Amino acid sequence: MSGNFFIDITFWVVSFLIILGSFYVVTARNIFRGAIGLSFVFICVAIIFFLLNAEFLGVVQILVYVGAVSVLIAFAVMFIKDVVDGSKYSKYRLLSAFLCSFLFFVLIFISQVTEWNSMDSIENEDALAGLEGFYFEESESGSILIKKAEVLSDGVNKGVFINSTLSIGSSLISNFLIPLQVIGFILISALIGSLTIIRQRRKQ
Amino acid sequence: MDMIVENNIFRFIYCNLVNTNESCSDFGNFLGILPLGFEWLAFLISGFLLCFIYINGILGAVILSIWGERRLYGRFQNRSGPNRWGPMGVFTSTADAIKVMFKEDVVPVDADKFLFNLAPVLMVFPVFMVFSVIPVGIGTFVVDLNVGLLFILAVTSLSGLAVVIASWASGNRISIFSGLRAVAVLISYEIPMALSLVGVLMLSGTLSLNGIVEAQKIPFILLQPLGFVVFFLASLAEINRTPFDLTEAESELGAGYLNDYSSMKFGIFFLAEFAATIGASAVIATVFLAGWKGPEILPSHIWFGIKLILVLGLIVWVRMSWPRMRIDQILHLAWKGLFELTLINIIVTTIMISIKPDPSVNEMWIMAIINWVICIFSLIIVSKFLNRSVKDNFSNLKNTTPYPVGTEKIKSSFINKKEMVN
Repeated sequence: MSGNFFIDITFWVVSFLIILGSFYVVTARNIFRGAIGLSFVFICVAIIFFLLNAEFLGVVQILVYVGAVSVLIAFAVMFIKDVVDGSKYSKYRLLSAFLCSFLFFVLIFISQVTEWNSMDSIENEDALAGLEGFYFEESESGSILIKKAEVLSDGVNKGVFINSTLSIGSSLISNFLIPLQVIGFILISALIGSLTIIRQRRKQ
Repeated sequence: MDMIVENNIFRFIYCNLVNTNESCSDFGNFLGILPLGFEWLAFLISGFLLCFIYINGILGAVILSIWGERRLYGRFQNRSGPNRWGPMGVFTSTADAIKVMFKEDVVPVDADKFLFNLAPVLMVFPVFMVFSVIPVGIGTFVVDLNVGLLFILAVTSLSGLAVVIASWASGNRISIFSGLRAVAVLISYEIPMALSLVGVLMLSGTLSLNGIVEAQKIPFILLQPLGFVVFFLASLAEINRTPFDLTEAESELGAGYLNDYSSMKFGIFFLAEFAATIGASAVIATVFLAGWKGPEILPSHIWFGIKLILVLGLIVWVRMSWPRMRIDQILHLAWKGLFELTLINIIVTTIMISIKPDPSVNEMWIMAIINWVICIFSLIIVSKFLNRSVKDNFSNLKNTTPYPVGTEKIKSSFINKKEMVN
């Protein structure tokens, strides 16, 4: 009763808070308060990640979205003409409401159609080895060795899911190496672009 | 091999509460307060008590550290410091706390009242969250997260949000200006802070703070001198201590973003700052000075305390020795100095590990000597470059107009008119 009961209660409370916070973000007249409400929603989503044993994702959610993106949004909001009373309604609000609800239903549809495999339900050793490619073992001296995955004689693929951080790291440097590099290039080009914009302004 | 270290305090309380439990066999059942089937209540109570003990311990440590720091400031400035109330003036900060509590609580007319009250809470709660993952002794911690180090970085980044809220909700310009400066510093120093820990992660192979302490056969300050220097400076900037205490630059900005706060709200900001100082020294002591590890003459908690006080003393020493830096100097240091140093550190550590993946203690000492030589050389080179870039900036400053930015047009038109008259 103990563990699951508290986890269930936390899950329902936090998801209720997320929905409430999201409504506040879209309905608040004061834009700055809306931005702060958005960061509150981000924190709640991080708590959901923690509940799902995805500590790494939860921590990165706080680090990137609450620590950086929310602050950025809060600063950007200060440039708006009337922060306290908000701006007028856009004339495209019907169209945007339609598009948003369409997107919402698409997301629900996709989440219903997709077959979600939990880690425990994967039984084929080849599939497991192909999924991660590596596994980790602790040596006698305490350091962690990275070993190539192979189907062991007793049919147990050991060690792959010690914690999510290790398997995310190993996936990034094995299966998703090229996407990682591409993201790096995109970030570098964004950095150089922003520097160029700053330099141009200074010349004038 | 079981990597999960037992949480001793939690287990002690839990085993005293429940009647029978297999995992408590070596403790024995001392009290057995709760009947069978109420394990979940024991779980809840022991978790709550653990947090209660930790938070009150931190608060007591903050009160003591304020007194200790003021005594030290006194010694540094060749005066006696607070010594009247209690033996050696121990109760001075208690008296200060009571004074702060009984002051009038003023909320400005222009303030956004809800956010104005929210900001101090948001400022103080990340600091307590940092303490939750730090192991104070063998098996003495609130929780041993397997992403502990990242968790600390993430939670401390929340204080940037609190600064933004505090500065905006006060509803005056000075607060917003100082908030802008503070957030610029906080965000820039997060990058060298995170990167300086990469070397430690590569050496220890884990993000859990307990795992990092156990992985230190010799303290990481010897293997990672560059990482230590960068992390120390970056954490000084993150906790707003001199020489990076721009936010409360009294001579320029009043008291910065907490200009309009009075009474206990100001007290909470004050508490958050000092608790953050203790938190930063605890993290440095854990990550770079091997935390609770030490020769078995003394218990592990006392080793941790000694290291914590050493780092706190170093921070006080820095505060008493250096004047405050300008905002551009601080940002130059972050982006042109510390960032490069962390990159050098990562490259050196990677080469080191790829040559010797699993070194013995003697080989580690050789690595330490090499690392220190590289550290001193790279510090000298980067400081030379930094010096040159600062000098270049000054020569540029001489060519520009002497009046403030944004007033050039008015001034030039004024000067032209003068010339026409002549």
